[in-house]
Amino acid sequence: MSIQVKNIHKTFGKFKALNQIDLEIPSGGLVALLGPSGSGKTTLLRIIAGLDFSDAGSGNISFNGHDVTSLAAAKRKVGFVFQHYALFNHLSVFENIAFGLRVRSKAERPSEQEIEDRVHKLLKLIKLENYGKRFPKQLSGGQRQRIALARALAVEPQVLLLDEPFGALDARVRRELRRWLRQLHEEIHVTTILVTHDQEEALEIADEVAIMNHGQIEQRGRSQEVYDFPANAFVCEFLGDVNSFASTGQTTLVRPHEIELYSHDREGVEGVVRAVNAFGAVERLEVDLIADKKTILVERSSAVKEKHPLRTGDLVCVKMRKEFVFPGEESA
Amino acid sequence: MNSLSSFFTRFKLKPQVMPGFGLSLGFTLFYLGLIVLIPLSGIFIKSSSLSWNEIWLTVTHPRVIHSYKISFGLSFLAALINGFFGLMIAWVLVRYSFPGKRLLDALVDLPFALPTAVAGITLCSLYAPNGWIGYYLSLLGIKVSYTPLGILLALIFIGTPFVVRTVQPVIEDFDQEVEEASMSLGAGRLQTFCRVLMPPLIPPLLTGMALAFARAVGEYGSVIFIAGNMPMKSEITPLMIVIQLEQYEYAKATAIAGVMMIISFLMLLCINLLQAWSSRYQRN
Repeated sequence: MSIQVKNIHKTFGKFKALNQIDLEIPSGGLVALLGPSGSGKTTLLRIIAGLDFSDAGSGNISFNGHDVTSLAAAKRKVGFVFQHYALFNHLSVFENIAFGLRVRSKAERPSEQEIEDRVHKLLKLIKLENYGKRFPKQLSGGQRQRIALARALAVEPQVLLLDEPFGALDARVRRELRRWLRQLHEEIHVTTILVTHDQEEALEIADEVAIMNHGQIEQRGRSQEVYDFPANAFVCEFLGDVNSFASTGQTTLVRPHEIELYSHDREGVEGVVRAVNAFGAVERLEVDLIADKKTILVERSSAVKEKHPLRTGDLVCVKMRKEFVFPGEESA
Repeated sequence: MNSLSSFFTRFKLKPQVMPGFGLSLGFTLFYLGLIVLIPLSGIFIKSSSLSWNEIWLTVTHPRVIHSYKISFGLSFLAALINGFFGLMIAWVLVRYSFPGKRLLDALVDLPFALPTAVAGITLCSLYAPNGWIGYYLSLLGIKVSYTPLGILLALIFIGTPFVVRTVQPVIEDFDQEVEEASMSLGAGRLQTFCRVLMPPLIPPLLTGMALAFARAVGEYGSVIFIAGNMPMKSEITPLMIVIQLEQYEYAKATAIAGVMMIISFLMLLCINLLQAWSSRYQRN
């Protein structure tokens, strides 16, 4: 089921939460809406779900070409997963997942046996087969979020909408669930929109990302594409660490791993190593540039690190391998 | 001494952050004994000066039996009515904003604060056949003052705040997203209310109703003015106790009080069990 968002506006009082949003998501795709808090990404997701409505007179939302703009959430057949799970605490895990099936009208409701089969299948899918009788409060955050996902999938939604689904979880569980979600998507191929402020998460899971800021989509493209060819300074800075150099009329941004350090006898900008952080696969250095009176961040792979070990206080030459240059002195 | 310390070590399984388990438990037991247990056992001790036969005759006197029906029956009915309307008031106070909301919120507590005699006299004069409201009701053939209906009215009045104040914080704590989740799963408004919102409200609702019921059973001041106190018609059990006291029959008074206490205790026990069952999902 493809999703088309056309010319959507949303204002809260005087605040423009969404400003002329156009977005098309192909059937079976997994697109991440990425942006800082307050950029409007959750508002857009809620409007697609039918939990909020766009400004009167603004454009429309359609699923597979069918206009759903004025359709209530209950009728849209979307699966929505909330950041804080929003499970029904008074129902067992089994009943939580079965909820969407039980509230159907008699004509559409599956039989008790079918409900049981489907819930068990989903419990297996989320690897919580033996947890059907438990209550949500007895489970961990990661388990609860998986149940929330199973609950959303139980109604066989046309569209799956995930609102910062891993935001409340700790880093390890988050990484695990990320990979699991990606696998799951490859298995079931439901058109999915993921809202997140974590660029790593978005780039890792999604086929495509749409980067939002101030209620607008700044750039849309494949993960590698937006990372390698950011449309503007905001996108570039949001997708990863950058060193920014402002000069008249333009801003130059350089990623830490695109900077090379040579021993002092070579040509280039002079600098002094201020601090070295050597844990893990990547070494992170802070280097004071002597001429600019500025500190930059440099990342080196362990191979380079072993070849040319550096210590605090060493004099180095700095060379940029790749720069992004954007017009305008102030970066967003 | 040794057995005492082993008694404490048995109950002090985990090391606690706050010290003073022994002291605070001791004080709690002493205090509850002084305030609750000794006066209550006094009831049974006092009435034991009567023979079994006398006790039986006192507590099963037709007038007294009828008063049980009035007291417990109407208190239960009042608790049910308060349960329904209290829930509605709490819902309106939390979910909607309108001018005068704070005033209305404060008004809910008024039955707590008002001296019960004042409430009784006010209700009685309002609903008497020549009162403001009673006059129009009497045209319809409905008599309120000096009938069981009047007693019910007084009991509803004094019980109103209990349900509102126990249910209100739970409604305030409701997570908007849970309702939205229900909607997005295809549930309509009624289904969302019945399946998602109502179940967590049942434990506090039962608590509020139990409190309202307990208060109503023991209510004297407001009821006595509006009841008319006609034997076999509109006499409440607390009045039967007072009548015995006025005749210096202290033992008989405590015998009736004892019966009242046992029935109240059993009813509250049932409500508590029901409440524990309905909130079983909250335990870890």
